[in-house]
Amino acid sequence: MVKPSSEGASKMVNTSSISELKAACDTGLKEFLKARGYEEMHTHTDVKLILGYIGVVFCAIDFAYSWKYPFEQTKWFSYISVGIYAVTSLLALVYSYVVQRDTFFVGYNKAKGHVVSAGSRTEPDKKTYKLTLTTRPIRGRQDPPVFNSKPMELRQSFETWFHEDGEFAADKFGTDVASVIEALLSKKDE
Amino acid sequence: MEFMAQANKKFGIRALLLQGLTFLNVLTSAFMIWKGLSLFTNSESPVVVVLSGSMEPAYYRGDILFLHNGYSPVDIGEVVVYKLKDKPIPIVHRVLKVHTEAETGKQYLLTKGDNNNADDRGLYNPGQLWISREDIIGRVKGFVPYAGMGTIWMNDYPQLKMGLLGTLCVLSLFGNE
Repeated sequence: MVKPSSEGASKMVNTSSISELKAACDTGLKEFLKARGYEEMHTHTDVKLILGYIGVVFCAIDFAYSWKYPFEQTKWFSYISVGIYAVTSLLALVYSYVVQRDTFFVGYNKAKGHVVSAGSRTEPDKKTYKLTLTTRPIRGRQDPPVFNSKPMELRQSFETWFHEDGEFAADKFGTDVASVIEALLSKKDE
Repeated sequence: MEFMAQANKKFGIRALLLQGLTFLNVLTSAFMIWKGLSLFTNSESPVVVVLSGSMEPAYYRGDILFLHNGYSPVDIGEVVVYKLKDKPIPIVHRVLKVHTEAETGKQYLLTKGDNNNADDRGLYNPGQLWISREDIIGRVKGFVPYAGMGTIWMNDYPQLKMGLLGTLCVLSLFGNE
């Protein structure tokens, strides 16, 4: 059943493309949290950007130096820059696989004093979306809130959030996400 | 630059920087791989294209040669690539004679192309009778026949090089759609 959305710009995706479906859900989650007072924390992105551009800068300097002067003269600097490039690239790769993993959004809620981290994964053969939410108190706060510290999962088939024509049902998605967030933020049982 | 301001408004500066990094990584990783190979082989150009027929029947014009220089002394019979002072084109020939200075171990080399009638003294700079180990940019360790013909064509016909570059640029614009 196709129900046209009454809100503004609604998102249309190609329902046979898993990556588009995942992207739409990821964006939906981001907007849901942003609308509820979560500001995005860009730590993961910043780490990778800094590592990446350090490599780029050394590469550019080495390129210019070895272009102007003979090989034997510039060799010492090339050893340094190749070394730095290799190390920063490796660190960025390790960070991406070990620290960041599936996380696509990290947001902090100053008022409530906690950080929510969202990661997602797809199961292509079953066309399902698995959203994992974790929370932790903001570091250094005087009176940290106490939460259910286990990660909460929301796992459903993509069909439940997309109309037949590929329109993203943001309201239905929002309802499902809201219940998981509530479970996530409920106080720890004694 | 206006599209960058628009992109910044829509996606934010980080998205722009990330896109930039992705593009730059193509260039930097290519350059770093080349540099790494260069340092490993101790050769300023570890891959070269044969430009003349002076080493036939071993190597023909258009063959790609893989070089390794290292630091050890050069032996008679080795095929080396060397550059003469102030001459930009490297030469691929075989080592014919080697003189080693007793006290310093410094090597003086005479080379000749297999397919040439005379040794390279006619090619060396005026008054120069030998080349030294420092002039060698590498010894030939492997080769791929014909693979370098594209480079030769592009040097002989600059329009080809421009045409190829132009095509690549146009294709990259469409790739992002």
